[in-house]
Amino acid sequence: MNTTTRAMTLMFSLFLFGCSSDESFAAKTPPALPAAMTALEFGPDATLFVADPVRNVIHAIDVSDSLEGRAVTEPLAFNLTDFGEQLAAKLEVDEASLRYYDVAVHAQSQVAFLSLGVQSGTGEEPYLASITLEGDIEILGLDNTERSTTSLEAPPDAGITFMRDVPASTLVVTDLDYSDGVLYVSGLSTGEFASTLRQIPYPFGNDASRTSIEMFHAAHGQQETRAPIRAMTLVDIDGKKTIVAAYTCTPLVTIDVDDLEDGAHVNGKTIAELGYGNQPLDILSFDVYGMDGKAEPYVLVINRDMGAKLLSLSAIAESDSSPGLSAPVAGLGFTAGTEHMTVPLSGVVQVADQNPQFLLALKRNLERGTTELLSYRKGSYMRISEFQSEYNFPDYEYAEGQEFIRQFQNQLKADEGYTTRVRN
Amino acid sequence: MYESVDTKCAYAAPIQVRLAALAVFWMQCPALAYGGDAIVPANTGCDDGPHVDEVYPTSQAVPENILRFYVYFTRAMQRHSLTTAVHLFDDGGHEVEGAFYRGRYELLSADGKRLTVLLDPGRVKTGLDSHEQLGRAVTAGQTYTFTVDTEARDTSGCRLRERHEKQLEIVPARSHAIDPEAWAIEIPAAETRESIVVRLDRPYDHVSLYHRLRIRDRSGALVPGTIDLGDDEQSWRFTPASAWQESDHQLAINTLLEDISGNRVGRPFEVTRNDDVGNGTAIVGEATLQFRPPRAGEN
Repeated sequence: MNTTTRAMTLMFSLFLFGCSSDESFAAKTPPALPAAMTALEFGPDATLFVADPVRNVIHAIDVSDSLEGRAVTEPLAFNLTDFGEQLAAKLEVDEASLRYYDVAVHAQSQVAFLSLGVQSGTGEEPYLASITLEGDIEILGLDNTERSTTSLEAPPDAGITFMRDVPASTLVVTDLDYSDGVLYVSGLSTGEFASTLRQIPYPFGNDASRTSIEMFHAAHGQQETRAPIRAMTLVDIDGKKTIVAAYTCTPLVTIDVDDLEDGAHVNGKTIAELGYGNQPLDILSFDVYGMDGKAEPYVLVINRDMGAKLLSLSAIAESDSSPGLSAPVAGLGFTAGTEHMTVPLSGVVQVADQNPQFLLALKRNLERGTTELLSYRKGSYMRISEFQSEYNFPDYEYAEGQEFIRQFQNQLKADEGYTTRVRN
Repeated sequence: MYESVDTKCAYAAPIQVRLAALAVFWMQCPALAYGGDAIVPANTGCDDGPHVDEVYPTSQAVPENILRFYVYFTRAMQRHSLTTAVHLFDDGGHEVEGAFYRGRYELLSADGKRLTVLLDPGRVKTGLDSHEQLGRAVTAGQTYTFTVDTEARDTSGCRLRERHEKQLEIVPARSHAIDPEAWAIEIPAAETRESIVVRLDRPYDHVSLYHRLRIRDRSGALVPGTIDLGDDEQSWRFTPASAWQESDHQLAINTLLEDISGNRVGRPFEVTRNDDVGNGTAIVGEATLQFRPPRAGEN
């Protein structure tokens, strides 16, 4: 054998992401049933996108059968405090065997969908459940449902074997967002520290129409690294479609969608540091209607380790037009960047935008240890039954000038169905 | 007194020492601190249960900016049981808090047998709040223990047969890009099925090594064969399915190839803004090293 390095010529050639061997995508027919179901996102009409980390695909499932006759005109609240128990009874399993993944709400019908797994002695069975405002739970049978699938995985190289079984990297989808015919897929690779954001046109078509972008993050304008997105939402800033995202390394960033060219290296702009030692679960964007009836757009970052952080879109837009953060925060416990406030929405498994007035939270009740499916009024981000205040005492006299508080309390009571407690 | 195969958790000290050591003992051996096997539910019907087959990187020496560990189990594992089963302890037996990224979904391979454990990238990466406030989870020059506890369960509900421990010696951060010119390559003779061996310059990510290096023939077609790693992921060996032709070949290196700190070919994990990594540039490509198997006996 010869040992040499000099005799060889090192040659580089660049190719676009979409053409690389690990980025070959194909729509498959007929699609296999989901082997696992995690992240959810509604697409057009009754199309529900479902991430499947076992098959490494995204399913598009037509759930119109679950929506039949369910058109709702009035924004109503979910108040299912015994949801986990009811779901376990429906599935005829022990509640402790349930593993919850994600919730999504179909806007027009107000039917909620939940992806979950049921653990048994032989593994975890995936289920998709629909839940109505009245608490009726249905488990969707997917065998005869109209479905299509798009793969996130490249086929293995023919003829190559390994001395030990080393599975290829797969993408664990962390978030899905749909906007104007495009599904945005962010995820973490089980192998290399890839930071690919994929744009997949829907209906799923050929490979050529897909794009993949490597996301980068510059720490305070200095060191730059690849940075996978773990949660994101799409917003409109001055007519420009913009992604507001949290990376795995936690800062909040904005990315102009127009910058997303196939195979390109794109930098997000750091607009805020929301606190260390926390992992964001999801980012939602929605309008909140003020007392004057005017809608103000907001972004809400749902966290695993601290309360949710609320930012107004106008503050984000201001940060987006500035150079971004340039230095680390002052010290432990400090935050920096876009002005934000902490709202009392915590202990959540997952939160989804429900309707113009409510968010829907799948939540653990820390006192009772139960799993609840509850709506939270936008603007308040609280449920009146979760707090005791003097306003709730039957003999409390609202003083002059407290009309707003009385109306606010009455609204929250009505949301939860406590109509007899409404005070005049 | 408890009996255990884990000598660190076996206990025979006098009472006064026991009290003083309780906190450390609790950290390292929570199940035994309650009374050993008595509180651990029996693995009924589990025979000997699953166990950890291998932890990558296999080397004991790892750099301060290590980005991930991989845990291979002998059976497909239950999702949700794994994230909380993985821990890191310093040499005093104290748990390193917040060392790992904990996401919504575990990074489990499709076959359920491999867990990817990312260190919190916000702490690995310099300049961020998490890094500035907490520092990296591990410090060069110190030793740590990476553990997988018996609460990890396989898909049948069986616990890990025994707690797995991997000792770590932390070496300084490795922050420079991969340069294939630094590799030494042993070229096989034509008309043989000898292996081509690539001696690497540092420990590489094993998934990346298996999947990002290939051999192409003169026409650019993949040469079928078997890949094996050695020397703690510092060598790559390819044995062709049929004898080498006496013609030009290429070692094709996908530039996604990473070392264990996330450095790639031509591009380190972290770069300064002044480096040439402007927006809009293509970032994935292929580097190739040319070689030609000589006739046996020729140099």
